[in-house]
Amino acid sequence: MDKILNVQNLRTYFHTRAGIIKAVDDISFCIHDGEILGIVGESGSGKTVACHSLMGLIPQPSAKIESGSAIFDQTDLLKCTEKQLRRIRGKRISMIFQDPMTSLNPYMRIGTQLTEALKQHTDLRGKAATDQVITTLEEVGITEPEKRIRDYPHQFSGGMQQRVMIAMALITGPELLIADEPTTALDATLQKQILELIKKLQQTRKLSIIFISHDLNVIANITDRVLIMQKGKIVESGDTAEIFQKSKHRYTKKLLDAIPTGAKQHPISTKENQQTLLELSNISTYFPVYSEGMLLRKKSFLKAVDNISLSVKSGETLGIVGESGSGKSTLARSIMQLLRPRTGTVLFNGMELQALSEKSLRSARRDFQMIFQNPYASLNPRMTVFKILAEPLLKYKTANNNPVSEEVSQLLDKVGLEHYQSRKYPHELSGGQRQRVAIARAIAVRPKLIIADEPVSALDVTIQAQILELLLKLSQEYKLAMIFISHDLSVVRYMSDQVAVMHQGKIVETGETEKIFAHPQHSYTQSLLSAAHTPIWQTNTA
Amino acid sequence: MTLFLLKRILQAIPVILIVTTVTFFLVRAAPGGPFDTERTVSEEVLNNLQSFYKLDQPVHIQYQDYLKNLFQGDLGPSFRYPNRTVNEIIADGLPVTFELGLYAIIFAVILGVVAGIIASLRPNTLQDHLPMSLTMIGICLPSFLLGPLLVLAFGIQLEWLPVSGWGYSPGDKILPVVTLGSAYAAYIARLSRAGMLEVLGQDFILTARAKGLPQWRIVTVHALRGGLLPVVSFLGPATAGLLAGSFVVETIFQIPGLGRFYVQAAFNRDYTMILGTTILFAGLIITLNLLSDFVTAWLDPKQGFVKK
Repeated sequence: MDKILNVQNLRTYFHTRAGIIKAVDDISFCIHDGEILGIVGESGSGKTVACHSLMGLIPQPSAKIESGSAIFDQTDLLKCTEKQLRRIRGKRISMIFQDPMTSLNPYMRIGTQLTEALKQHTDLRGKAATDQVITTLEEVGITEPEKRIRDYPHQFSGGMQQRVMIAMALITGPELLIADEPTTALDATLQKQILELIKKLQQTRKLSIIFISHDLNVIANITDRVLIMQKGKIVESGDTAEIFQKSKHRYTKKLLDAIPTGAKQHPISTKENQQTLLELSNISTYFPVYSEGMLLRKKSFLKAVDNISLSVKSGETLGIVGESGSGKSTLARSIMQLLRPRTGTVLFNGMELQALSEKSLRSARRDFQMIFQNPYASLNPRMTVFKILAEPLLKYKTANNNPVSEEVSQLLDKVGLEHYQSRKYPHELSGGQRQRVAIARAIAVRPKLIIADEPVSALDVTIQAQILELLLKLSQEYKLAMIFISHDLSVVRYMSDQVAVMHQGKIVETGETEKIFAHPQHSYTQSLLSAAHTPIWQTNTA
Repeated sequence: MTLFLLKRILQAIPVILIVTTVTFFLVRAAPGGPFDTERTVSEEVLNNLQSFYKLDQPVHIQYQDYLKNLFQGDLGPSFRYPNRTVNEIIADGLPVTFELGLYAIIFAVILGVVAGIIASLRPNTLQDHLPMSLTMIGICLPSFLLGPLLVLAFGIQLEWLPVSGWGYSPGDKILPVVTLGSAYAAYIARLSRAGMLEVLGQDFILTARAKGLPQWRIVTVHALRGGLLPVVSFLGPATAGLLAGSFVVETIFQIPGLGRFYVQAAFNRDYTMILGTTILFAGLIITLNLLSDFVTAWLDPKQGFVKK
């Protein structure tokens, strides 16, 4: 096989006020004709910067390519002028990005955006160009492309937007496609569809693809060869199957081990006679949707949570899975009474939460705390870690009479942070450390129930594994009941005793985790489970 | 869309009514009256004047009469310029003020947007710092200082341009327009720089670059529409402020616009004149804000104006 692209000794450094950051530090790799090459690594490992360096897309002047060569069809991409590079970029090497929502221009019709690429690189104009746009959109699976070319990006769903992105990248008939986390922002079922589409197009068009992802499952499923990147260096490379089955480098092993696998270690069975802590009956939360009317607005409702009944026993973890928009977060907020449900009752520890006044609700909140998805946004940036942790302690005056500073130190110990970190502000901490602070804040007042809304989905796999371990440890230690919300089936399976599957505001199936995973009854659960691919290295080595 | 327009116009009616009412009673509550002068007028003359202008009637009757006339588009007679109605004075002055304001805003938009775009292309370099420092000066320099300075430089020293007037000699419109527009140009430059910087940092700009588009096309086709949204929303209030604030420039350059009448009316307690001009400017501000809201919505396809 011919090498379509050969990269040697690429170094890209960022020159910042704090000094030089070696984002890409002496990497060499090549990609063969018709091959899918995966680049895996955690955030900040340099995988995106490496690809942007090849395309001349790094932010200059702060980033600089220090050395290296990248031979593509006898030309060195790194030595091309901007003008020469523009003739290759988008014509012979195309890119697709992570978030199709923000990667398409919201102010332009998609037809215009696709035609633009054609006009830039080919002689097609007018009707011929439009026809080409329509056939390409058809190829990526957009129905009725003749009508849809007049639409704006926001009129498409996430999966359809990514299809449009792919069509835009392929319309000029490139030889190499760089796909930067193309499925990360999508739900499991959509992810599967997009991966299948990429694979199909790769075969029909004889494409070479560089596929960047942090998701080892995705990489294992789609790539032929894989590079593992850590801190700007390639630590291991080789055949995908080989790497995943007998990896040599310890970082690769660490990555593979970090993926939660199998069931919860010590599940609490339902038969044990426990007290029911939380009981939801027929909860519904609607959002009003207004459509323009002459003087009176017409009001209709979006049923975000639609007639849900659930119960959680003390000490037990209930996992809630579902795709984005299925109402998971709204359910969490309805339980917390951050949103007041329209109908139904929330019975917590014998108290009916809706019946409480604002004031008594505030004191009741001590027993149920929440951890949010994004630790970057959910911690007040103007409060130090100490203040964040001391606030609930002072507010609820916990029973023991230790000074607050001592309690904060204990909390930091519990979540595995150093004491000196209490003086820091959230922005000085890493994502994982921030989530530890968020967890410490939630357990500070010794609640009986914690609702964790996607607590690990913003984190890298190795950090995710640490946080999951921490949550498991704490829930056992404090006999915490937990509602664990995630779109990630393997994470939910690893964490929960019971699981509830949500779809369009309703719970379609609920029961013991292992039973559901082994014998899904509802068709939606079945499709969800089949979309989540089983990692090949597990099926083969087990 | 027509529904949106209709709704906004209906909303404007109570606003105008409140402005009218508040102004009506405030000017009457203020000490002094339209016929107080240095020379004392005899009781009899004063009474005659008052009854001629119906000022001797109870306030609520005056208010009713005023509203009734207002609905017919009649702003009443001026108290200080006998034989002239407020409508006539506005009809004379408004076109001049409009022309001045229009040129000034065009000047401000062209200069501001160009400067803002140039600055945003290379942030934190000389190409950014130079125009942005100039805008600071532009914002700080009041028009009553900038105007005379420009006159001194271009009118008296260099003798390139006439020092005053409006439409009497060629080029006499340039200095007033520059004086009035430069503060707004500076503000627009800062807004468009910030707007462009925000848009240029977004993912779809990276997509456009990855498509191999040249820089000028990325800036003009992909970034400009989103980047200038803040400028468009600012244009409504800016134009209104510009018209209402043209008084200083009109005085410096001896321009027969409406601004002078507006301010003099306040000094003269010319009740109907104050009311008339206030209502006019309130109407203008509402209309221009509506217009800029409308354009902003039209530029953003998510608001769904284009379809439906």
